[in-house]
Amino acid sequence: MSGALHDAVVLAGMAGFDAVVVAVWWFLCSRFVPRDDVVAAPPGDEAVARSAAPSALHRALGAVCLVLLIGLIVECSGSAVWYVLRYGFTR
Amino acid sequence: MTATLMRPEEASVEPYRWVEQGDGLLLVGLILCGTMLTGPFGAIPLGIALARCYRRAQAGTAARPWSVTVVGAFCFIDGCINFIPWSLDLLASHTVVGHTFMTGYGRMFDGAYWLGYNTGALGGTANHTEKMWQLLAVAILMPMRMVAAWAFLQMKRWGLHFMRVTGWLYLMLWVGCTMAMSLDYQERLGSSVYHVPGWWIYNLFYLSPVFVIPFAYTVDERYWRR
Repeated sequence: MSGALHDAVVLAGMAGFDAVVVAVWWFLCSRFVPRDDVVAAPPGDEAVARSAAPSALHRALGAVCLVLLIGLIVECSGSAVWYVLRYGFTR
Repeated sequence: MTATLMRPEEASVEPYRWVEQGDGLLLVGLILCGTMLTGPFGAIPLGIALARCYRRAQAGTAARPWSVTVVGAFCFIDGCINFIPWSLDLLASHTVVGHTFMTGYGRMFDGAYWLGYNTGALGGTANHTEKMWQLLAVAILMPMRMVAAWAFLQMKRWGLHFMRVTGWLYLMLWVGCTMAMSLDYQERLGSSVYHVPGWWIYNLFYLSPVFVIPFAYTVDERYWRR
């Protein structure tokens, strides 16, 4: 029980540290780049059509990133389970 | 797919918390998946949130292009996957969860996380170069990547800016890590179960800089005005 309690305390401390680090970076990054408060002149119809439709490059990059995202989701879902099934819990 | 998005000048003022409805569920799914430990539980909300975003994009009611959702989600989960497990190795390597997960990865893919595990000064992997990359990633790159990706999804100007910055930093990480791995080949890939093919199959999905850098530099910046 003391081992499990020790692990829980360490993991909670790690999670807290990670949360602080992420919060610090959110604070820093959100203040480095000012918001663009100037409203741009409305673009012409041609510019709107061009900007609304994704370019071929973006479609291709989006498709590749979708494949990679699916791969990452599969990895995330299966990795820990796979390690435990193959090697069991270790310390 | 022809999505009719709102004009860039309409995408600036935001009375709502998130850009898209269901972004809260997206965030929960990304974080749960990104921990890798709770990955199976994160896949369901993440899949539901992505499916909703896709349907809105198809229906033309999306405030954010579908490709932006995909790239942003991909970068967030990529950052989280590196952030949490490396935090485990850095801070929680003596716990059952940390030891099981990291040495499991080490035995299969990268011997630096198995041979001499927990014998180094800081615990976890005893490989000094890997420990250096961990520290840089956990303290600087990966949290920055995660916040940049989420801000990018929320169409914030600084989100786009830091997606570009962290893209280059991530490229540097890739080059450095690959070089270190090649120099320590015998200890790392040579002593794992799946060697080079296994490492590439596992880590191929982390190749975000190659695709995200050109994406981030060719988007219509007017949409990122929140």
